[in-house]
Amino acid sequence: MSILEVKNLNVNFTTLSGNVKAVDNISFDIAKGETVAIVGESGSGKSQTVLAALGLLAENGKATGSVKFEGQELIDLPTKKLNKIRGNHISMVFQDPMTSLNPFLRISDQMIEVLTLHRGMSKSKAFNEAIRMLDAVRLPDAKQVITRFPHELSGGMRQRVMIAIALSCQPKVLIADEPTTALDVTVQAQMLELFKGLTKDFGTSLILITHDLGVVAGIADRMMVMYAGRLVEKGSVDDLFYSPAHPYTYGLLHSTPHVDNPEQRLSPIAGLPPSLENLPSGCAFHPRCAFKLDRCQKEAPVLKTSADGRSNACFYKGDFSEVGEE
Amino acid sequence: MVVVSKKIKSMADNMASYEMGKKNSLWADARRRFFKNKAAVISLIILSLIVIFAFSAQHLTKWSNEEIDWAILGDVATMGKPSLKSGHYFGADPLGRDLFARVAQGSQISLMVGIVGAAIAVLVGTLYGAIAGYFGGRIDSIMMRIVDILMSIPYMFVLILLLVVFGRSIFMLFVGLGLISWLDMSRIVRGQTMVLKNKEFVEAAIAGGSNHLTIITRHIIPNLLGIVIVYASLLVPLMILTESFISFLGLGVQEPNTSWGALISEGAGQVLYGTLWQLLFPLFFFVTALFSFFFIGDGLRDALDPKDR
Amino acid sequence: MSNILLEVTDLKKTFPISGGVFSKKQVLTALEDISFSVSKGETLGIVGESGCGKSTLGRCILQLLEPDRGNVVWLGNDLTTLSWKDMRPHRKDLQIIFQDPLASLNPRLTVGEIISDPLRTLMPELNKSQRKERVLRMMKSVGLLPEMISRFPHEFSGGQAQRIGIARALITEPKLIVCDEPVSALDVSVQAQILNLLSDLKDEFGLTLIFISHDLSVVRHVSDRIMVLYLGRMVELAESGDLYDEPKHPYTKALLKAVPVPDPKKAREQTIEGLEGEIPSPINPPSGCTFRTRCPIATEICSNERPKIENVGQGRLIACHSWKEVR
Repeated sequence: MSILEVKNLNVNFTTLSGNVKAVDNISFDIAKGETVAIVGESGSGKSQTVLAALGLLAENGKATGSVKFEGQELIDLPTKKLNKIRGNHISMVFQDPMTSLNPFLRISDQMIEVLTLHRGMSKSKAFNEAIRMLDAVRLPDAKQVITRFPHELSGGMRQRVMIAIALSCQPKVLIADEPTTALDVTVQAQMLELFKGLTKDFGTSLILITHDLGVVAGIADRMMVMYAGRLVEKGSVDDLFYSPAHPYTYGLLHSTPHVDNPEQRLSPIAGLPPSLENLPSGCAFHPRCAFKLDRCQKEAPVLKTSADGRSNACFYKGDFSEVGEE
Repeated sequence: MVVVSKKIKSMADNMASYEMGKKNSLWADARRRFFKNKAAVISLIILSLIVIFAFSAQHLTKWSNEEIDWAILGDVATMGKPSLKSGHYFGADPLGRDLFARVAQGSQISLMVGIVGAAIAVLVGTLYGAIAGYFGGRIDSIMMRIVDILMSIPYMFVLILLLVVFGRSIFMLFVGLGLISWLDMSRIVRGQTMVLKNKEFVEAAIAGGSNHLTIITRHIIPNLLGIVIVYASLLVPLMILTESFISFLGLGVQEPNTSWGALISEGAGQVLYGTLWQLLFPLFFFVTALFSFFFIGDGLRDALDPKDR
Repeated sequence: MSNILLEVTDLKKTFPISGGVFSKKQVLTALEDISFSVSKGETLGIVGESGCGKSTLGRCILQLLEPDRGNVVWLGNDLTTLSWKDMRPHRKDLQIIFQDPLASLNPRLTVGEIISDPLRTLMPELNKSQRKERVLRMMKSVGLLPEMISRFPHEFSGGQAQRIGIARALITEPKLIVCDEPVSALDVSVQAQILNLLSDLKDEFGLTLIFISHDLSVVRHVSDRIMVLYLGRMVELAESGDLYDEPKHPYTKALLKAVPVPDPKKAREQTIEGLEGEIPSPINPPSGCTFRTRCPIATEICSNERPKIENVGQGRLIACHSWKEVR
């Protein structure tokens, strides 16, 4: 049973230079307790997808399609009803812990707000619950820290507070948008341990947005790859890492240096990510694709699901090592 | 292990297939944004009309700004009304002089004062502020303390004193206005310079061997221009206002030269005699010009604001 | 020994933190006791987390920041003793590439002007057409189309802007380039392009590089030797292969264990382990060894005495009292 069902989601922005399609016809499901990673580079639309689901798009953005949480449609849901779900059943952790916390309020105030709002607790009960949450995310010295202001905490600690706030109401779905990009490697490792524990102990579904394939390999069960607003490949992490079916996925895997296995020369993807205002015709990836066919310039490939549950949007069906020699 | 494809390798090494959009300097960007702002564009047109009026109106009338029309002198209230027939398009002032010509001449003076005053502020203030901000430390402390001291002196008082002691000439007016107008600008420029000097492209310039003068003139000042232009465009109306106030007090430009402030002063004094036109015409130009400058200033700020990029 | 281009000894750099009117002036020690050398043709990687001082180190080497103490000897000249004017002739051989490509390019200058500026100041014997010729040649080497010469930085994407930065750093044909996180601000696919480019240019121009980064995978990929910093101090320095295969310092070990590997099966076998605790404040570092608050094998001596940098053979330097016990 899917806890979150996204069908034909489109996000458009009206800008000075016309209409920009940030997300183009995305569909995917999230099951209970699983961790799904959405992978892509800048302009891929990965952040806009989840912002659309939560009704957090900017003024000039419009989402169409369907996002159902436990059967309830979220798109165009009136704000009052949406607020009962946001922060409560579906929470989000953003990338930059510096700007996600209100610098003028103490940590305790910010945490209590969520608890009193969604769980109807009294202030004193909420205060104790907040300390319990901070302990749960392994923030050292929670009783001391909770009385402080955000600027007195380090980046890692602030991110933990964000996670604690997001978890306060025991959400069924936690969305984390590049949660560890701004953190040091050792702190990132602690965060990833935390996330793993969440799904195991509480059955929380985790949607992790990232460009770091190491992080994906570490904690995700399934992954989706996005490019220029479109979904290009979907499947289990093992499938995509060991036998990628889309040239972009393949390219990403080979542009990443491995700590364990230093290659002599990386094989990067040629060219640059496209500007969403000026997308190439047909398949958005074709100008950078080493395996393109004539068809790719004229037609945009549609995401097709194969028997083993994998999905792929590409016309090329061959091997990636063709014409291969070192 | 998956083998590296030769195809990928050769593609990756070849960048030639990238296309760029139309050429685009930051100024062109800003210009485009400015012209999208309706209020700013209309204000620009209006201001241009006022300027044209100020400097060419003299040709449209046979009266000069000091000539007295003896024919109407005795009864200005009835015979000095604005009319196309009598040639006094704006009417006449209490002394029987043509108001049209006088307003034109007053516009010249007021506009010049505004622009020259702002120009002095920009030049002196920018250089002073950039040097203080760039060198920092003791130099900065001393320079900015001087500014603080000068700022705390009631400028109106000093200005009036200067005009009384050295006589009321246009030159004295410029000196006086110049003395006060650069202070704010220097503070703003100093602050902005301190931000800029820590930017990486300044570090890159140092690593590239540039000396202090080059860095200030090539890297710091061009990146200050945005904020300087915006502030300058707001200084112009401020200067006009200051001059008008001085003239209103009777200490501004000397007769027969006049300015908006002086004309308004005269006109205001005559209101009881029913000669409203003597107040309304100069007032109209004064207010319209000020509004235009403010709208243009706003438009410039929006156009040059880096956050929109 | 004549192969050594740069020799840094006992480098120390502090920043005063104003405590305000009512509290004592405090000092932030960004770097202390840094000593290492760089030989011709090698790439020395400098790695560490926030607050380790790696960017400060890069700038101190180039005298963009003035060290409090210590020597930076470049080709026999101690740069710390030179005035701004005397430093200038050396700048031709010592260049830097910055992390944020767009912040390191003056938005009001064209690409051509940005790249040719160092030529104007450091190689004044060239005339205008000679400069232009060099600029165009360099643009080709870094993969920029010649018509881009009259464009402005904001018209470029991050990756291309970084190429401009690289061209500027290389235009005077320097001997050593400090690369300060040159790919951290770029998308993954573009990172790989730039890394390959740097590698090619290094071969083509016979460069020596100091590569600063927080990304361990990237550093391993490019470096011959690697130096690990923690809170402004050297912790370990070794050949890349040795460091990654057999880290000896507990911090290096922990750092490597924390890096997530993009290989799901491997990730499942080894759990990603984080290090307990947080990086201490550089204003008030722990006594003795600054790493002892998070070190799994810290003993009493670690809080009393700062570990000295020892040479333990095969070009490896370590600063730890109990490194022999590290398993």
